[in-house]
Amino acid sequence: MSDELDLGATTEAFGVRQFIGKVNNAMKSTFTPGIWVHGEIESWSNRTQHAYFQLVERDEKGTATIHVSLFANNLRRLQPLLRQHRLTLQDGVKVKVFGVPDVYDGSGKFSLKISDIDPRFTLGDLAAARDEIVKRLIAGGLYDENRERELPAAPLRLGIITSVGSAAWHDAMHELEESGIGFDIKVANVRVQGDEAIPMIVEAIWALGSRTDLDVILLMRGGGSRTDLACFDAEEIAVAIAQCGLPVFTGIGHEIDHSIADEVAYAAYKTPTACASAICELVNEFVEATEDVWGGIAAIAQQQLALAESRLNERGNAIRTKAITAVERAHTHVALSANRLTTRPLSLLATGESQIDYLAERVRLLDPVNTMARGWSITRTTAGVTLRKAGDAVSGDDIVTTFSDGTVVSTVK
Amino acid sequence: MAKKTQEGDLSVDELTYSEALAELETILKSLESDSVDVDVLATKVQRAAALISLCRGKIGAARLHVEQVVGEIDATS
Repeated sequence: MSDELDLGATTEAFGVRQFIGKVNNAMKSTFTPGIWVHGEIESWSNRTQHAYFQLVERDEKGTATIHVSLFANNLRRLQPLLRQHRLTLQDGVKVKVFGVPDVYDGSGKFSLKISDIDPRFTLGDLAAARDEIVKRLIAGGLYDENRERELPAAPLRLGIITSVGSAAWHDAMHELEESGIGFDIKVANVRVQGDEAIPMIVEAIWALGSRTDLDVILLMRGGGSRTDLACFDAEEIAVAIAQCGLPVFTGIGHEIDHSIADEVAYAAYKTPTACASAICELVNEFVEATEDVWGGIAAIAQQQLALAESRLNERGNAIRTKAITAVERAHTHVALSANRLTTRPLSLLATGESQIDYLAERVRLLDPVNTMARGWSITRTTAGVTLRKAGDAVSGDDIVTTFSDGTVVSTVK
Repeated sequence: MAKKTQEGDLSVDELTYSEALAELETILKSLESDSVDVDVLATKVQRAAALISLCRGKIGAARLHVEQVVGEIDATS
């Protein structure tokens, strides 16, 4: 009933501007002091001092869109908050914004005029997305894969992936050059933010990672906002790093950033300078270790020489002592021998002499001269044949009889 | 080369002391046997006398030499 009356009572028509004003007033009273709305930024535009974008939500029903206006005074006021959380408003970033709905009477365009942003929402969304990717990497066995690569003791052949000419590039090159180490460097020049960054970085990782003349890959980028560095949270880059044939060192962003690329890398450093410095340190450690080994070898060699010299001296002394003892023993032996020599030969000679005397006596006793001296004689023919019996004597022959003192010739009758 | 006597024996001068001694023993055994021939008796005795003389000469020379050497040893010790 009352509706019909009201309708009848409102037969008065509004002007367009008046109507829009009424709508705005109605919305203001409904949504005062404002309302929080969340969605993803699209068509970000900041060409003037004001910023405009669309906040979208995608679901099974399609895409819901609302225009958003962020006027200069609010934008200026929010900049410190965004910087504090290192956020950049740009396409793809999910935000939770506070504002009031408004219809612009000049165009009839419905929009949300925002005055505040909740950074925790964006950070939470980034963290949730990261967690999801990390879970998939772990499930796929990729999370630790690059850390299983073999890192040479002295990585001298470097493949660097960065934006050539950037501050990060200059810092890293300065660090490498200052070290005085003769690095062999191959560079892949890539975009490090924006739409092209992810495919370029992935391609560079594959290209350098398949080379056989490199020891390690350095993926570097200078500091930036979280959203600037968002590409280093990309799953494609994480997979490329994990499966890269060479160990990947990262030096991305500044100290409070830790991207998924950092998490899957062989080693992650806070800055490009720290990353380059770590490589220099590895090489220097190798050089020092090598020098230590050489020092150790030299020390051991000297010890061995000293030991050998000591042993030689001991042996020399032993030889000297033993030689003196041996000489003394020989001297004693000779003295004993000399003593025996002075007695033994003369004793032997005396024995020989006695033996000869004995033999001479035996010979003397057998000499026929001696026998004949006792009255015996020998009778021979004149021809000298010994007459052994009387029958051998021939009558009329002369015979010769030998006595001890001479001979007598007789005639046999 | 050792010289031989007309009987086929070595010249006495060529013999060593032990050879001379051995021959002397042989001659003695021969002379002491009953079968000794009177004809060679004198010859063997003569040879034996020469052998004895050789041995005495060698013993004397050896004694002289030994005494000289022993004297040198005593002088240096």
